[in-house]
Amino acid sequence: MENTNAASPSKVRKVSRLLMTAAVCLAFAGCGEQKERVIRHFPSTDTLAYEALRYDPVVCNMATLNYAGDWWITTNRHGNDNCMSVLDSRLRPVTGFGMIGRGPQEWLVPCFAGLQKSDADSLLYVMVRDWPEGKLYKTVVNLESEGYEVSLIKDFGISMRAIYRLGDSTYLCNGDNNRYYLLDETTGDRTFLEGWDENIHEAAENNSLFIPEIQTLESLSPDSSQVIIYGLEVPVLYLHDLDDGSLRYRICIGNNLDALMSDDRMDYFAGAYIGDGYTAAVYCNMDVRSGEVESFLMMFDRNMKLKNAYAIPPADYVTFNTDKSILACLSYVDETVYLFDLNGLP
Amino acid sequence: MKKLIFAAAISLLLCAGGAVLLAHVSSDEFLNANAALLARESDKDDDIYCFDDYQFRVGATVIKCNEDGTCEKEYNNIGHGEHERCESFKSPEGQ
Repeated sequence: MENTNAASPSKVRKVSRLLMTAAVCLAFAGCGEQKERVIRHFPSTDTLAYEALRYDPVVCNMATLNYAGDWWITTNRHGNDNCMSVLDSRLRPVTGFGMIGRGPQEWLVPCFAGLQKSDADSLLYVMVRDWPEGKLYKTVVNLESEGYEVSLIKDFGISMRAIYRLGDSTYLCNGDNNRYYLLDETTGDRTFLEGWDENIHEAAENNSLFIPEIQTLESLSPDSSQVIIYGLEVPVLYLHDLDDGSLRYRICIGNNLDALMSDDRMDYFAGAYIGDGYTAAVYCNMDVRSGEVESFLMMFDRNMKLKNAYAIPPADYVTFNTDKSILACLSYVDETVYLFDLNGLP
Repeated sequence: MKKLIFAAAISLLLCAGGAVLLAHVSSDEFLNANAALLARESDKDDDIYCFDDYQFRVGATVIKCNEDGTCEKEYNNIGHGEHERCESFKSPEGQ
């Protein structure tokens, strides 16, 4: 009996062709947004105009510099009475705060951890993380009286490379084993950012002398919805969403991550920040023989595609004013802070 | 049909997203890849290897070993030029 439901050979061929075309299109569409990329060549680099602010290291021997509204907050190298300072827009000291020590309101290794909104122009609410102690503090600095008060916000009990308060009960954290996670304070649940819990070996990593393979720093987007993580010894960038910790992009400079981990190159990132529709990252390349450093400002679009690279003076530390899109690069040797206006940059 | 399956397989292969982010570097690979070994000390269950090629940086931790053989972690060191830095590995005896 003839099967009236069987498809004709020509129909089968047509459907097959259609499905093959769809499969090929899917292949190209899916591959258009690879989240792991290697940048092997920079676009032709332009130089970038800047304003140079000299500072007096005798007055303020800064190790790090961060924007705090109309002010700067520094952590200081040894030699200053206070371990942190407030400077005005021209890098002139306004007041100092914080002491090194083991007392209740003292810190061992203070790190700037953000600024909270203040209800008075004369008060700054500075978040400070004490790295080896794993404690987050809120410091109220009175710019008029030059006094300050320190209060403990959270104590992790172990050394912490990063503590950011994202909301009432959520923190972005990073222990000394350098594995980023989101902490729900109410439940105690930890959610590692995508990929940061691979090959975890807590027994070895809890060793007090453990040094992670890739050491990083990070900065949050202005609305705390994303974090950009940058390598201090390996030129790698990670962009994560913070609602679920997923990895949006991983960008390596020069080679894939495996090769970067084992080669002798001395290149790294001095800083990376998320702006409005772009990410700015300062890439540094050190000549192994001479020790000289070349720095480049790399501008990525919101999909982490490199748009341009600009040669800039060597940078030791980088901070970013998200309100004004001004990038500041601190150079210890030059005793200078270089300011770059990123508004309108391609 | 065979061509369709082949094309679909190729598509999947091309679009498969890599998710491995960290390659664990064994101590042997680390030693082979790094600068001149300066000293080796022991601290409890760990062997400490010290090298002369590190550029300290804000945000980085290093191990410094003292003359009395004790070692400790230092945080947020900054500086220029080459410095000594140390890494610890589990000694075979301590594993």
